[in-house]
Amino acid sequence: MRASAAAAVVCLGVVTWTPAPAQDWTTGGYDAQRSSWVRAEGKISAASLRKPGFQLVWKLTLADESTAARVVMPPVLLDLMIGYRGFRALGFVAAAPDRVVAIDTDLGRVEWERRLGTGAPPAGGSPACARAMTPSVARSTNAALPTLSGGAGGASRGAQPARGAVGEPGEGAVTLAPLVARRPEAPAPAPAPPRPPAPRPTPRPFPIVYVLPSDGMLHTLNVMNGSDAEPPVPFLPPHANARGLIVVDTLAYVATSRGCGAAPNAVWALDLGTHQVTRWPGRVAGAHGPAIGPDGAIYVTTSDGRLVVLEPRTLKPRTTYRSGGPAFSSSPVIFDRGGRLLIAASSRDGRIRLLDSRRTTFVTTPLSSQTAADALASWADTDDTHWLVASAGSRGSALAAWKVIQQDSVPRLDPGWVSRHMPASLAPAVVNDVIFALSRGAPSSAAVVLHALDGATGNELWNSGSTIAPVAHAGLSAGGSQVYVATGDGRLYAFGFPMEH
Amino acid sequence: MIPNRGWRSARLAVVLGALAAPPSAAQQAHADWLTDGGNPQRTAWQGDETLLSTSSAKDIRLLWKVTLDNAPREMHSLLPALVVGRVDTRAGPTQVVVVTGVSDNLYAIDADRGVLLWTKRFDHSSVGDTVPRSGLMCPGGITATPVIGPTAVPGRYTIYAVSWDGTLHQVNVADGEDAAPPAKFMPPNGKPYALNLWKNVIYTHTAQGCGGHPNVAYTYDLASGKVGSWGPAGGGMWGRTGPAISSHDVMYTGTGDGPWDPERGIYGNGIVGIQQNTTTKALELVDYFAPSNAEWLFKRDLDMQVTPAIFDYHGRELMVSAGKECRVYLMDTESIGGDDHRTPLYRTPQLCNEGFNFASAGIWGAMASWVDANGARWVLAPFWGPKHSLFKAPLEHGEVRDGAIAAFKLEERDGGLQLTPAWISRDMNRAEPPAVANGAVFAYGSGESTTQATPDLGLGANSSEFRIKHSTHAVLYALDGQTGDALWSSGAQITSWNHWAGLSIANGRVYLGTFDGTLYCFGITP
Repeated sequence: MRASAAAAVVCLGVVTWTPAPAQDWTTGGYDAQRSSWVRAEGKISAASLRKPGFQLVWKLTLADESTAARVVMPPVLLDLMIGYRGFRALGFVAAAPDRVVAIDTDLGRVEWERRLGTGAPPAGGSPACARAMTPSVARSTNAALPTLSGGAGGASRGAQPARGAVGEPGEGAVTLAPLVARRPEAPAPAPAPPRPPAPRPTPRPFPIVYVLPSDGMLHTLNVMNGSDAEPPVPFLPPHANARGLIVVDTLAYVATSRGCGAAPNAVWALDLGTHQVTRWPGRVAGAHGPAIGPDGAIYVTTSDGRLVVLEPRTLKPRTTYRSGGPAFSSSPVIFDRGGRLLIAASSRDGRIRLLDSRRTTFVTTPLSSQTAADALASWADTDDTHWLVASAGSRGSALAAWKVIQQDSVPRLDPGWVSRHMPASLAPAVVNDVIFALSRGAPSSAAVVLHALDGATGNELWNSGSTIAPVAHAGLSAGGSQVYVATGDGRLYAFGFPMEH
Repeated sequence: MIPNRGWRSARLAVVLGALAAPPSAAQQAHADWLTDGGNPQRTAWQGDETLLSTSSAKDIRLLWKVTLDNAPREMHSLLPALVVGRVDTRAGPTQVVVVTGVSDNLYAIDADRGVLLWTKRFDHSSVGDTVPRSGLMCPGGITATPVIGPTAVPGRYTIYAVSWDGTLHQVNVADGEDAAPPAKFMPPNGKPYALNLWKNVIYTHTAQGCGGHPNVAYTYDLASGKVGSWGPAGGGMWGRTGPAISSHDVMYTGTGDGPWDPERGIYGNGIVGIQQNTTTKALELVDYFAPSNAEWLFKRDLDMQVTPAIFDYHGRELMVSAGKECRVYLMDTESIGGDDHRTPLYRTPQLCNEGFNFASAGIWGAMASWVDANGARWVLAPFWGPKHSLFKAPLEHGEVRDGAIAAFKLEERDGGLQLTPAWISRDMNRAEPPAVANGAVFAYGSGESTTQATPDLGLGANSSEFRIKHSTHAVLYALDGQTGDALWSSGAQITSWNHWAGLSIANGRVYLGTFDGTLYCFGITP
């Protein structure tokens, strides 16, 4: 390992990060760390899924009838938006060709739709680049490590219980008492005048969503109606195969692969303030693209077995770790254990490789699958046990969960559980303490099935049966007590506990 | 017997008996409007009206208008007028209109001449403008319409008002002098809603957490000086005309935005019935109801926030209320939500708000109810925004885009009760709570901009500055209570708009205040 990287590793000590509040699913893999772990008060928990009630709440067909383009991606979410049409929970679905559709996720209604880019495939384009016609969608993401605790909660959200009271005659209501208590006996000395804060740009009066269609221009849209909040900005060459769009502070990042369009395989950065574009060449692995550390550093896994840490904005390499094994197959997942930053990824030999950022060598799991997972999920239970979940078994026919154990400050991965047979299981997502995963049957035969597993044991709590039509491609996102399945036939399914409207 | 036909002057019998000599104008006036919403049950029905009717409505004209020197605060200006048909003043029997200005002012006006009799300004030096205004939702000042009560002396009345600093004042209607020492009541700078007076107890409730105070229901027991409170509840109790009170001494109010979790003592997006313990004078919860879709209402900010109307129906004491979702609920005060507290007697489909918006749509303010000459019980609901595409009535008066009044008849069908749509009025620019007199329904469009968000400004549009700029003017209508036909309109005579105002009706006159501080008196003279 290069001396500079070794020095960087030695300099890293136990650090603390200010945790971010619970957030929406804003990018591939949910958050900047690509954990795919939604943790928020809500209805979904292992306990609630043991009881009846979780079911399909709505489904939509979003295929473009005019072009027969069918690919849709799992939505990026905004759980609460107060706009001129009212309070809304929105999902932003990327759909081919070059469309973004905003869905009222309570009602399963289209709120608005925009068609961006050219909508036309590149001349002579390869089938592998056809996906480039599906735009990338993301909302601003907080790079800070989120709070670890999750779990279902009630709807009261801190509201105080009501009670009756009576004041003494002539004393007014009891609600006057806190005012009397607050009155000081003597006037306090005047505080020193505060230092004027550093000037900050005026925040927008509405939330936005970022969309990167096939023309390579980054669009910033008003979530209320899809109108342009900013003029589009050049980001990528046209028809690049982009994935993992993520926006942190004033920087947008995305990975390109397969050499589609005129875009080399690389990680790209766009400074939203200066509109400057930089790139780092590399064959990026994983479905979610790069992960972002709490200090804004970019973590990239490559198909030649490297984990590379890049500087924010400039994308200058900061540190490179070599796995000593074959190519990585998944994006990195970042999490914190006792103040140490740990990074995990799966590789083509079916192992999960785990790195303590203070060290240089990876710890690995035994061989578990002949099919490499292209995404991991990372979560922690209320006993403070951290888990990694990936597809495993022969030809990816089950999910396997591993516990991250710290012994003498050295991490290791202990076997947790292996799920029941789930053929061709796709990248999982975790909601509180429930693992959601899709399995798909052989093409054109068995239905795609959404499974809900107890995160602590792997036991199946629920599955969608034959609800989802047979289709080759599917993906998951989750939030607001609902789980969304987007399928390659242009459908979007929402599962949850129905609420009377 | 529920006194929902309005309060009667103690001198009525004397006035009726002294018919040998031609009565003076004040002596003719025997109807009062002593409280917001017309009566403690908030039916907004002037049951003692003898002049205004469906046949005389065409003769309504502007009798007078007075511009008062009250400064508006945010969008608040003048509160609904109160009317005492006959007050013994130094100048003799006088019909007096009492108007409250948000900036801690009371005004008394001679109803016959439109002349100011007295002005009272409360001392708010302990609050004043040293406390920053908290914005549109929390304007400070007086936000609760006072209530007037008779005294033991015929012709003498007392105004009960809560001033900006939370003090309860008792003021002589005749001359504006204090009838009793001011008393501590509630925290200052809050936002109480219209006061009610029932069996010597003042009732009100607060909302929006103004002044940093919890949203609670309050009672002031006039005999003991004790103040009861109950809450917090929801995001605030903000029915326009305050609480409605049943014959069993229970006050009812919607609880506004909040979660519904009665097992934890949390009562958002519902209706609560609260009663004073006659021994301790504390307030106690005695009943509660939440719609079965309360979780949805909370998620979409479709508060249950309308002042109910309580009325007798064939020996049962029933109640109607509504919320921003734009449904009307019919309940029995014996048990407003049934055994599970989630089952009303009847729930209408949505009248409006097809898009589930939290602003500029839904039922806002208060209900109204009256009985016609045939004994039919009517229920009226004002709503904002377009009519729901699926809501129909046998009589409709054109496309509704900005608001209207929906009228229902209470009927028995299939062993139960239901509210049967009867008519929908013409379009009104933000239809406000109506009032009824002699079969004529008086309604108005406030002309207020109720926009709270725009595509460009987001919630930044919800400012007094923006909304005042985009408000227009109020229009008053007289409608046939049986059909909704428009009998008369004020047209362009009212030049300003209003926010959180209301109608008052008595003795051939209808009163409405506007943002520019003007009180309008429309009516007919005998």
